Amino acid sequence: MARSFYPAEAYRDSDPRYQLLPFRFLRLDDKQEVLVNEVGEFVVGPIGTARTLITKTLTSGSDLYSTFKARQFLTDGSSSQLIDLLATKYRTKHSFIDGFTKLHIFVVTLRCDHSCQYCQVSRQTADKSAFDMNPATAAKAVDLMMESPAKEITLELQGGEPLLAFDVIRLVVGLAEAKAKALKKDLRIVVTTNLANVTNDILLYLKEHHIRVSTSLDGPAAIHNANRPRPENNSYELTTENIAKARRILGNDQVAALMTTTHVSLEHVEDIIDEYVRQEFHSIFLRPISPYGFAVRTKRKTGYEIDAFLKFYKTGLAHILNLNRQGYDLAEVYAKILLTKILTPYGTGYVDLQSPAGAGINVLVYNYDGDVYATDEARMLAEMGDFTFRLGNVHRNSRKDLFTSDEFLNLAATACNQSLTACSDCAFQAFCGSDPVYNHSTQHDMFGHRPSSDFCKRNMEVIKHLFQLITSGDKEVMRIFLAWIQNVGLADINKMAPSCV
Amino acid sequence: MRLTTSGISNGRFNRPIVGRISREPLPLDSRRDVVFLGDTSALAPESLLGYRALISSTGRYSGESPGISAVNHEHLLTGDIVALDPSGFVRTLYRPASDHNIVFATGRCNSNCLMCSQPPKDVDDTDAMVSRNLELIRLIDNPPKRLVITGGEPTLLGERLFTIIEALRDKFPTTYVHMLSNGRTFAWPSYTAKLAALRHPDFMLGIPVYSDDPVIHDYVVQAKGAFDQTVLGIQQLARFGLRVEIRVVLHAVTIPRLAYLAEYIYRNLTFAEHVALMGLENIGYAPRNMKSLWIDPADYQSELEDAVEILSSRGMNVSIYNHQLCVLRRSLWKFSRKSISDWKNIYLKACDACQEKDRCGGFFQWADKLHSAQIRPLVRQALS
Amino acid sequence: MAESPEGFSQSTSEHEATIRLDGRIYSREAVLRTCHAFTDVLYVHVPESADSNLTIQLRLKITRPSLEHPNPTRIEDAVGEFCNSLLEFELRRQVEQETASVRQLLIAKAFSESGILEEDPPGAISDPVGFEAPSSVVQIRPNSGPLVKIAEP
Repeated sequence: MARSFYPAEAYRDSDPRYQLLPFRFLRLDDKQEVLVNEVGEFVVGPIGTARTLITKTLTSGSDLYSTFKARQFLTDGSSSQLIDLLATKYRTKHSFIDGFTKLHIFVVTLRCDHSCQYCQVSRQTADKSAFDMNPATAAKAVDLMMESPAKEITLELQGGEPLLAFDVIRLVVGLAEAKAKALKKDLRIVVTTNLANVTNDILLYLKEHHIRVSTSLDGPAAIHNANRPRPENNSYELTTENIAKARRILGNDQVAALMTTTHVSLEHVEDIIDEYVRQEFHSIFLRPISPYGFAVRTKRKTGYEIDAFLKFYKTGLAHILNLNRQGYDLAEVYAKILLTKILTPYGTGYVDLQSPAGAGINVLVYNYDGDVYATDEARMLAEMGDFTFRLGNVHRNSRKDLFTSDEFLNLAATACNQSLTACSDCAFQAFCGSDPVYNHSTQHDMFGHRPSSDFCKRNMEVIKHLFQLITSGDKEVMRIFLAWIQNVGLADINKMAPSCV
Repeated sequence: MRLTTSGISNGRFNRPIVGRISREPLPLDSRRDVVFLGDTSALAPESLLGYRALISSTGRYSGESPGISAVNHEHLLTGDIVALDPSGFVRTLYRPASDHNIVFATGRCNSNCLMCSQPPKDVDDTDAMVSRNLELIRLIDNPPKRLVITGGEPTLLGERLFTIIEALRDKFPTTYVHMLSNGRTFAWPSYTAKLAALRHPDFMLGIPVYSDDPVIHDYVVQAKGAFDQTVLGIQQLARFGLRVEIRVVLHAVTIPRLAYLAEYIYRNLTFAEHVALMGLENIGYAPRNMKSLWIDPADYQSELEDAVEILSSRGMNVSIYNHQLCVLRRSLWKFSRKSISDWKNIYLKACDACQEKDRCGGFFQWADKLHSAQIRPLVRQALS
Repeated sequence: MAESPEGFSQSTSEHEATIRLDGRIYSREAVLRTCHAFTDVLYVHVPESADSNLTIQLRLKITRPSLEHPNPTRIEDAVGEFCNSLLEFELRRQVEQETASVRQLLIAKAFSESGILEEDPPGAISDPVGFEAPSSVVQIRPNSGPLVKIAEP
């Protein structure tokens, strides 16, 4: 018996009503608004789109209706809610929580040979070895680190200038490697260093233990040296010389650079970027200056308005996109983090822009004296006498103590932007994060006050800017963004995607 | 390329027989699995004993063994595995010379796609198909590089499907098995778990998703609730570590939202190993529904390129099947595969002068009735 | 200016304004959230009201240009923006209300040990032949019980 065929209408539900699924919206500019669901899927439309959807006046059967349904903004009788699908996507977005603390920062010494304007660390001189981590502290800290349930542990060696305490590094690395092997954990190690004191022996050691280098390059010599004074005022020369040395021994992909933005940098974003190109780096992080430590004390020298930073950022991003178009692969890291959250089903492991906040949950800082802090910034607050985010001490406290301390519990209460005022309504909730330490430091309130928050304004404006670029219809810009997200070059994307004919 | 023929049965068998063709007479101890095809009248009766069946190339065979006198038999080669039906029908199940062998699981289907190239037969053929396929697997000598399990909807065999997959796993562990399914049964976690438990070493499912809109998908497959079951089925398959390919047939109903579908696949079915965008076959149900389906492929190149851009630039593997190079945008040539099975592949008269003919996949043999208005010979460009 | 037929504003001075709203149309929740959103630019006061109407008093925080704020917001613009935002917050409240339980379920599922994809889906698997014939030893059993043959569309 032959089967019959039925028209499309037979598969539409007779009830044309629809129900909403969770989402948020906001105005991108005076023409467009963006709607974003719980897992970061979005629809951009003219102002009033959200209103039409919410007031149930959207025409069932229209293209926009189908799109909202497919992206799980609404549900109707033609399909069950597919809640399990949405839950799976939510889990994927939040998989960075899995394993809890993955990044462990060891402050092996406070000693440093530089006196950077923005440094948040005590400027102890080279002969005060009372500021190095002692063996007993190192052992306890490594044990505590390895108690984290994460299968992949990243050990970040910091300071001061960590290479000034190379013997401490050897000790910590030795203990960590042994423990990682015994517990079958995957250990990655990185050292943040100004490279001024690096020797061939040190580099060979780093190579032997697969330790990556993260150094500071603030721009061309004039800017770099102005930001980062040292006795012979030759930080730039030493840094660049030693970057080359490090690359020769460790390999190009094992040496990365970060820049710090100061008042001096603000007018010279293109020069700074060009310097990164000259030094053959393929990623640059246009970071705002953090409002902690010496930066607050020396605010007149280094303080600046958020608007100036946004101008700096947008100009920089445009210059970077041009460089990419002309064939030089250079990723802007802040954009890459946000774009990963906007354009892919995945979250990121960047601890400063997460909800729940990375503080304590994804990162812990072990100071030279054994004190344990929720973030690097929390430690800088302590330098100024504010111990709000000190969770304990490796000599006195167990892991359980750390995570049941009042300090941690207070942090946890403000860690999720889903439950913070204004964030709970914000369309960018899935892309942004919460930073109770920042809020406490700048607004004296862990919950934070969004309307006057620089953290909020900065992220909002940058995300809006990225949305303008995403919706511009420029295929090449999208390919550049996707190259950054997938850690490949533009040429690789061009090979994967339709040919340019 | 013929795969079936029909003759007159001698009435000596009332159940289907599966056997391996030999055009040469064989010694007695080698005849058990064999269907001898030849001039039976020229051989003494004793030399015809012990074969599983006989196909006479001349006149009638009226001896005691099961037999069919075939009218057309030139396509049958020694080594081919055939199924003989008491009605006189002879179907080729397997050709060692071909790279495109299929295991036909069942004619049943719980969908009824507008453009189905193998329309369902609403007959319970479970017993017949399971025993036929197990015997087929037993008779194949050398491991094929790949096999495709298809139908109908193979999962309607229930757990008996697993006996077939197990047999393939045990006898041919190096053979890649691709199974075409609508994916709906896999929405039941217990079923999917059982498939995963087989641990076949090289197994992938090819599952169609025709739209990001459930109404449109359900309309194309003519089954309400199919979209939900398929999407959940694919989620379950991923959950149990099974490999999935997404297939989309390109026609007037699926083209308008193709770019949205690409986005949907990327966001929801990210783990898909491959996405196959396929040209319409003018066979099966398609001719009957052509008014709703036909769009000249030359007219949807923009939509196709958008969809391919979305998927490929995000790192997903994409292939375009069943499209001719003169119809496909040059920017998409790198995604085009020569995918048409040898036994249904032709070229048109216009192709004689084409300089890209060797690179082009050509047409299905029913394309002479219906194809793009843009078919024309191409001149090879200097750098391409 | 703002599109809020039920609310109207009265500029009482260069730097202050009063808005009166019909409390049946604008929820308290939306009003309070809108007020909060403007607390970088405005001082906001919502006095108690005897009836269902709401009164909101707005006063500019910055009234004179300075080096830090060369172009302070004007009261008319602040009120206009405020009213636009009010509508948006009201819409947001509607979404929240309608989707609260789904959202809870979603997050509960996402963070449960199991709980995702554990259940059988809606509907059943069958075709026109069905699974009642004895020879068809199909054993696709939903967790909840024996197969049900679904009717043809």
